[in-house]
Amino acid sequence: MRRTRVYRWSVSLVGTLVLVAVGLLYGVPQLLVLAVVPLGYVAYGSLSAFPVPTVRVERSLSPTDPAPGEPVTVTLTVENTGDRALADVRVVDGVPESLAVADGSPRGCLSLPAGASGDLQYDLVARRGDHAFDPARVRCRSLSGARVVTAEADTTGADSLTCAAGLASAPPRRAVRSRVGTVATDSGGPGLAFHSVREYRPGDPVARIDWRRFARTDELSTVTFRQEQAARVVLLVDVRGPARVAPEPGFPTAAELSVYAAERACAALRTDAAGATVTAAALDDDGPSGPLVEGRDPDPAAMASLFDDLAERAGATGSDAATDPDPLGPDEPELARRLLARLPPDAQVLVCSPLLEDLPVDLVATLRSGDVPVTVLSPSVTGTDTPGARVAALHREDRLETLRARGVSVVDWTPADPLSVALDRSLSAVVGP
Amino acid sequence: MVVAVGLFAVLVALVVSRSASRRQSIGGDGPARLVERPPEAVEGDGPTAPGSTLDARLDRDDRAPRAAVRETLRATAVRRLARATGDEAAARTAVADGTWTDDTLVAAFLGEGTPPLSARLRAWLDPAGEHRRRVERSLAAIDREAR
Repeated sequence: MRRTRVYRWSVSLVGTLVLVAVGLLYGVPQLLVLAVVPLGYVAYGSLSAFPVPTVRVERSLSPTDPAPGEPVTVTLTVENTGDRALADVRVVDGVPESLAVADGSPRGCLSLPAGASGDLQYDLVARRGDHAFDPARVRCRSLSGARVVTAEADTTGADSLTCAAGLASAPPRRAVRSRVGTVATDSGGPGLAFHSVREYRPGDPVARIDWRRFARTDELSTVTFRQEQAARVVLLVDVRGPARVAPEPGFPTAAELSVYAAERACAALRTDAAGATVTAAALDDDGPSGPLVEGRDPDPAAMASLFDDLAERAGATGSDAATDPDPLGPDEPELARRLLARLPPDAQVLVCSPLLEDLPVDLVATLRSGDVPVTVLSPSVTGTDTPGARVAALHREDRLETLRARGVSVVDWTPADPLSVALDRSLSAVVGP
Repeated sequence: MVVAVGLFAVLVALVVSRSASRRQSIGGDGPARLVERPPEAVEGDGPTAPGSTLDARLDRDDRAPRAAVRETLRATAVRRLARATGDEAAARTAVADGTWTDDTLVAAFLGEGTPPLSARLRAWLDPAGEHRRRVERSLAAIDREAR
């Protein structure tokens, strides 16, 4: 607690002294009597007591488990628990250092009668991780304004903002499937859609023998269906320098959003009964990295730690390649060659990239020419506030159109919208509806 | 008279006690921390914003960064036109000739023509402001293109 006196009645003191001095010098008793008026102010200022900051602050967050990039409303309820009115209470909340205030202000000024309470609201932008709040600070002034007490308030309620990737809430998709997988192949076998009729071979299931044909021609033949198989999805997350940009300080970077989208996609594909196997890889400054082909279905804990590692890398400071391309960046053909060499056969790729420069587009084109099915999920981080942001947005629009023209399914995700909609569209493109 | 002298003595005592207790404050780091680091601000420089290079160039009042901004906008226009028609050489010619837009100022700014007299007058009076205006107009024209 810190107590300060403010000498705001000094003018009255000077007035008193002048009146007394002149009154004594010239022997005018009226002036001495008049000096009582400014003296009253001086006495009021000097005799006023320090207020007791009997303030309790309760903090609440809404929503309590935000997704990265989602605005969180913080409500401070300031209550005067003492039995005397507090004429002037100023509150400043201890906002976590890594978070930015998007709307409103974490400062407030209230007058609280005994037992009364007042509200203070502001919005934060959530970022991945645990962010601890400091206790709120209050400053109370006496009615005269001559005594100031500054203290840390007794703060209860939420003391940290936790933003996990929200793996618990995977987008709702059909829970039960009776099929092996959802991706139709060109080979015949068990399945749903008709593929061909071939000669009976010993060992073929009796149910698949074409009995009508047998009755007609006395020949045994077997019906085959289009074989279906489980999707094998590789999540390719762009965490290179050009993707580590954010429209404003304190907002999650595009790379962080990409990691988040990939993590949610991974969770959705795993809970999906289609039985897709998922692996993830990062597209980093020094080429593709991450466990690409380590086992058909990597351990969930290993995947979680991979995503944590990616999120950490994605939070680093990046470079603006949208209006200043880096001529020394990694070589696209080399990158694509290394990536293709590491991709498992029959893999489908879900690329999570903000598409702020041309490299991901060229990479997707190369993958497509290698007959790899590619879906692109692109978080949009370009704004419309400055000319630079508008140029970046125009270029990004062009890239999305270029990809669409090449037959790649592209899902444009604005982080203010819920991810589940964008994710459902991208996953439909990957593993079928 | 005695009352007056007494009054004066009280005043002097007040002044003395005040100067003795001047700047009386106890404990705490006070509000200095809030002034140094406002709660709204974010620790560190924060991430780069997309397009920040162009914005920085636009803020610099010099010939070279202006030419760079103009070049970026020209490339953006060519790209946008080429996306619509699929022919990059034709798009480049169209931008150079200024036949791609109805806005004569933008056509001259991104192409090789001469801007209208009013624009040249403005550029002479307020070069930075006029440059910014031309950039805004160009962006609007490119945005209208191939919607």
